[in-house]
Amino acid sequence: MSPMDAASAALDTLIARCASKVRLVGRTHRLDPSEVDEVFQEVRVRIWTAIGPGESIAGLPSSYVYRTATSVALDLIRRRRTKRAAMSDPIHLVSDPPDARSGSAELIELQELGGLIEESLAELPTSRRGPVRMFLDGYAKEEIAAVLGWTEPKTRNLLYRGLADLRAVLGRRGVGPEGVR
Amino acid sequence: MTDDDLRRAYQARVNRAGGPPPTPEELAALVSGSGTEAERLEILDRALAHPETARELELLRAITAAERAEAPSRAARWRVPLALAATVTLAVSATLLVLSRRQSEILRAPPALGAPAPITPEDAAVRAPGNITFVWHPVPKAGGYRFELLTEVGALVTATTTPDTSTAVGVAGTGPYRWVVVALLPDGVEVLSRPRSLRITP
Repeated sequence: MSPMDAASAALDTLIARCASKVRLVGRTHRLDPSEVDEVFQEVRVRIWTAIGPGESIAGLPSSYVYRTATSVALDLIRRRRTKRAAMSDPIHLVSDPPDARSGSAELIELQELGGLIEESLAELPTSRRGPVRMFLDGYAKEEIAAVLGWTEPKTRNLLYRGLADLRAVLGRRGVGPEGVR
Repeated sequence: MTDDDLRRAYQARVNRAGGPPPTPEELAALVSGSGTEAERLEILDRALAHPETARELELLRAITAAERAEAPSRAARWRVPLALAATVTLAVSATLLVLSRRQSEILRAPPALGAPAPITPEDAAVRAPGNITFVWHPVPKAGGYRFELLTEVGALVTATTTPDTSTAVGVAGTGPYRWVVVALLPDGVEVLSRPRSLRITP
């Protein structure tokens, strides 16, 4: 194997390991694996271009790969937004397309309740609204703490208070423990 | 109503809160932990209120979380420089220094894809503790550069931003380091240089 081939294989191994970890972390939160692949393909190109022939790839820290991935992801987000802006309305004015099952009474009821939750969230203090939104979106307390840079006790405290606030607001809107009254 | 009931209903909602979605730069600030807590909370709220930005946030969050998971721990990330500080004082105050460089050095700059190309110290350089001047080639359209000194495993030791193509950093701690330069381009685009290794020995 030529030195160039060996370097290429080393880079592929490093990038595959990092991409695999990202897919693993995002798998429970609707992160599209093909999106991760798109990012890390670009990461490979950028690193391969930045690292000159003969320079060591084996010693490249993974933090460098992740930093490059963040930079690539931001560029990807910018490109997509530019494309969307050219093609459609601003994303904050666009609703999700209707679900194929939108005819079901159960789903309609669920959507109505979801709408009440959304309105009720506006009444929560900002310090509790963010963590509650993350929790409702399926994030674990540890993940919420990591994003906000909070300790576990602080996260737990604000989250539980936020959920209690939310239930109280929903109660005033006629949504009790059994759902909409 | 259980937490799961709330989650199912919330995720099924079709109406969304108003307000503009956060910019990519705001999302980046949120996942990197910069800005005040109030700012991060406000960005998080707006990001999760929109399905598209929630997905964008998740992409950036997953990359950051994967990096943290690979490091010993976030706390350890900071223990490294703190431990170093006890035995090896790192002078964090960087002195910005503009060096006059030969024209020939600038002309042979090969910044592929706009990446800053380091000049000195050379890769795998060995230096004594003290003030070290780091120099790199300019990148067209760069509004500035962020110099980062890292431990061998990639933990940040110190960083400084400069509009110039050199910076002098006092490094008193012995041991292996890496350093990179980030070109700060318009619209928030950042381009990393190749990393260079550096060893400080007494």
